[in-house]
Amino acid sequence: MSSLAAPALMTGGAGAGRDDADLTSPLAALVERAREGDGRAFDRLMLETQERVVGTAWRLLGSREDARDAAQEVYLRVFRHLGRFRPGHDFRAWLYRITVNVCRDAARRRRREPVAAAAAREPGSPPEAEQDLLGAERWNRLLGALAALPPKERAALVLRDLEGLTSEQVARVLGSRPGTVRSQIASARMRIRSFCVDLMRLGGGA
Amino acid sequence: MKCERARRWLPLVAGDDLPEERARTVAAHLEECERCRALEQDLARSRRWLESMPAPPFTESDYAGLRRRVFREIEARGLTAGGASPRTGRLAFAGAGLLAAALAALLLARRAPEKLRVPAASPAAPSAVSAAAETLPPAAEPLAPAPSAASASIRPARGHRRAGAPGREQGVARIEFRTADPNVRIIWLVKKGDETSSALTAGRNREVS
Repeated sequence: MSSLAAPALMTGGAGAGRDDADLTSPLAALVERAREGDGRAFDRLMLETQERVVGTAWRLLGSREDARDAAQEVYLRVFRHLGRFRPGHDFRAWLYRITVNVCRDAARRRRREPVAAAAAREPGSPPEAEQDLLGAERWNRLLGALAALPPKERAALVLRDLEGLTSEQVARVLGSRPGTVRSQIASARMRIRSFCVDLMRLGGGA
Repeated sequence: MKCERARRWLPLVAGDDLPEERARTVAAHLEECERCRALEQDLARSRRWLESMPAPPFTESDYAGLRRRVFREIEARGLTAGGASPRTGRLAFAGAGLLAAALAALLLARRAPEKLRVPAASPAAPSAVSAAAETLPPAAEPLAPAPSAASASIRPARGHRRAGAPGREQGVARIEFRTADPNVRIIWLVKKGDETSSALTAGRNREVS
């Protein structure tokens, strides 16, 4: 634990992973070292993945505070269960799975207000680039649409359209079949479109 | 292709999630159907909106704070990489101990259902067991070795009437106590209807009460 007490950022490459096929490779060596109790490696692991974890949590939960708490819980679970992660498997998929599970638990536990209402009060949202009225309206519509989606559809859509995973990767993360995930994604896209369609008629953006 | 089927697949066309052959079929339909084409354009636009959502409002200092908090929690909870916390381990150990004790107690209770909780040196009141006791046999039976593990046990006398000595047996009950010491037995003779009683020891003939 002594190496965990004072983590310091590593510099240089993370080393080669065992699998070359996906984005897990640069992380594999870090995972291995973190499993052995190397605090610096775990810190580096967080550094490499924090934007994805926090971003996904924020899109699933809709508030900064909830996303921050969820991300913390995600990394604590990762640390606790590193021993269960099998080397050579897709670490990123494992991380997304934990993130989705943590966010689902948080959403159930807290029963927060809808995303749009919570986000509107947060500083910095809508962002400065969206200052015009139509842009702000579009922002709120999208947040509201995301919040209104059923949890499974929201998770599938966020992972596919915002995190850029393929349908097959989303299926692995969610523990579903690709066909089921595609169906969820299709339904979610239709709902998003329904939320935004009148704004589109007004000429709200590209 | 009918519009109904095309509309089921259109959201997947927007994200290139359809197999190539099916995508070609839908594309052919879109060339003929203006309404489906409009829907496809709406879907594509809303997807572009979604993709253009601004980045989450987090700064480098937010991320650094997150990592600090994670390490602080790891320290505070005493977590180890890939393992349970020491506190969890202690609780699990204590739980396992309690479970083992409960199982042992259950096992002992099932192995000795006839044993009564009576101290060896203080025999139970005769009235409590006299109903189960039989009449006294005329002579003491040979000592049976008592189970070594037992500290004390009470068994009703297994005697039977002997034809040659009917007079001694009339109205007398015999209660035998076995102790942990195989050489010591306590025999309680109870005269029916009589409050007085006496206890004799067999083997070394020690008087215990």
